[in-house]
Amino acid sequence: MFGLSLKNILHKPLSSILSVLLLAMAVAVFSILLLLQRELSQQFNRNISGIDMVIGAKGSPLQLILSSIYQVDYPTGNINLADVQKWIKSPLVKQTIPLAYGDAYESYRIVGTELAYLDHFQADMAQGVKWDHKMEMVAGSKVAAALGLQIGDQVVSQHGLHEEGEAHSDQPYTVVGILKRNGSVLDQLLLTSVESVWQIHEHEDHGSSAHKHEHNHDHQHEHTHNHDDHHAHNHHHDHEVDREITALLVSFRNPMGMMSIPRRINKESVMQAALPSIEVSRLLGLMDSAIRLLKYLAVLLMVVSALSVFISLLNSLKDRKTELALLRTMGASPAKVFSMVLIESLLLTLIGFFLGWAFSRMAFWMVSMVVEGRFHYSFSSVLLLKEELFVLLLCILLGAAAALIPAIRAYRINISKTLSNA
Amino acid sequence: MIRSRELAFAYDSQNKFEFPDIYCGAGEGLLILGPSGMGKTTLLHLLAGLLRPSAGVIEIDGVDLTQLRDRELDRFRGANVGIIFQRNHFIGALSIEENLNMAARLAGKSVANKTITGLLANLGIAEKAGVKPANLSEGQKQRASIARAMVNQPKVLLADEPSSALDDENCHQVIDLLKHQASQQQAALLIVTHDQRLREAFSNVVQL
Repeated sequence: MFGLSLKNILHKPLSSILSVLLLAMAVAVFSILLLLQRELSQQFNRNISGIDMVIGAKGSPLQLILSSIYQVDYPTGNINLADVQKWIKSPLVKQTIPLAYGDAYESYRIVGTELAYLDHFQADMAQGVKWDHKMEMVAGSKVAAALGLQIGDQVVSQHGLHEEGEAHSDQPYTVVGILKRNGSVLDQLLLTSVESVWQIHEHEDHGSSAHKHEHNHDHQHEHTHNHDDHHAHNHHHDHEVDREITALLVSFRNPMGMMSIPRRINKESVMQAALPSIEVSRLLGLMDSAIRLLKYLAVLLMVVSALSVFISLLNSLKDRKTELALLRTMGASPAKVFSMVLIESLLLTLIGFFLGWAFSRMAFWMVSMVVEGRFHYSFSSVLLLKEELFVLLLCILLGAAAALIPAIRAYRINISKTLSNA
Repeated sequence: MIRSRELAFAYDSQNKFEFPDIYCGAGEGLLILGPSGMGKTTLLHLLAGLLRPSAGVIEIDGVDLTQLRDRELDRFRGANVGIIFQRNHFIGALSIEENLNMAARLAGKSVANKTITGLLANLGIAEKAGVKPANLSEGQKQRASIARAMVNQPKVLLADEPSSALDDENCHQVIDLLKHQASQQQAALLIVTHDQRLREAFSNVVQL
């Protein structure tokens, strides 16, 4: 009966193509939503782990989190390292990692930080070593692959996070190491020491005086110098340099820190402290309700497509009534023609499911290409999600439900009457 | 061999039929003649086991159809009765060859492809084996119907108005073909019709 059901569908494909496409669309939408939801929460949670608080310039807390932890949004601005250090001298603070932005290479971000940042993500070296001196750079796996970076390559950074920024051609970085791919944001970054970022901008801002700074390690002196300079430069320059960082990632020894320190920083300083867990759950919560709504819509679409399968079956059965009667005269039992109609419906819904599934993977792949190009973020792909088995089951149930009435009609067909009237 | 005794059928209290007893031996032919509305098709469906009589007995090869349960009747009909309907119905999605194969499979018989090819060649439509029914002419369809009715080597071959749409020449050809096939396979051939032209071709005639 299976072969006959399949041939019946193929014989007049136009009558069922609409219902199959409708179902495929519904399944595709549902699958894409599932993939998106899974991918988002995975990406967000993977990079968040171990970071309890982020200190940065005042602005949107979500923007601070997105820029400093996920490297997607633009930073809120810079903060003075000396200022921030006053706030983290608490014994509750376990570890701090500074992040200094400012430059990019071929639109990949250059992040000035400490080696602790690499350890935080448990990064391993694929080649070379970690940076040890100023102007040495470690490349994330995807950046290295995309730009074809090799150990020993010279990289000239551009100012700002765009490709159009002015180049700091007099002070190239040297690539000393390439990281193994580990699925974190590191894959998309070029990493160096905070001092290197400072040096580039010192040099730029003060021209020949840069040499003087390099030899001068007196903090006090440098600070006053910087202070003088500040007023002269901050109108035509986004971020003043010298001992400024963009954000500080903080982890606490115990949750008590999260209770008191962020509140005090937000209240008493010119900086802001944002808690990733709160911002991310707020963001995911917003997306979850949108995704849930879309899922309902997709299920509705599936039900409509089942209705369409039902109607097309009923219509084709009207045309094929004599064929069913003929099958009965040739010895087919009522159960056999019943199962033939049922199998036809199930075949239609299964074709719809697999089309939709394939379509969702294709669409998701395209979306991830776009996202990777735009944000240097990449998505992993999954063959079959657990929830999709539920969708498959739903399709089978809908297919069976759509076939029920037509199949019962086939079961009860009056052979003699059908053939006499035909 | 097919035999019926005191066969009666009622659609409702107004439409009652009582049929004369019928007998047709293996390899023989029987013509059942009657004008429209006398229950010719009803009788054919009764003899084929598509309808249950309200009274009487139908015996094919010693088996009483009225005593069989529904499922047994379906199987018995598939295996032992070949039917040629007034209109030529096929499974549209299947080729002629596949239609014949389906008839064999549903009857629970395994018929070699060679047999099917031979049967189609016998009826002069061998080259249409792989063609879908919709692409056949009416004459070819009728031959294909005969082939399908014969594929399981039935004990009884029933034909409902096989000649009504044909001119004299084709009429005789089809009747000769039916008689030839039936006698070749030792099937009892029963034809119900109002077509008086067939009277001369059969020695056994029952008038309704």
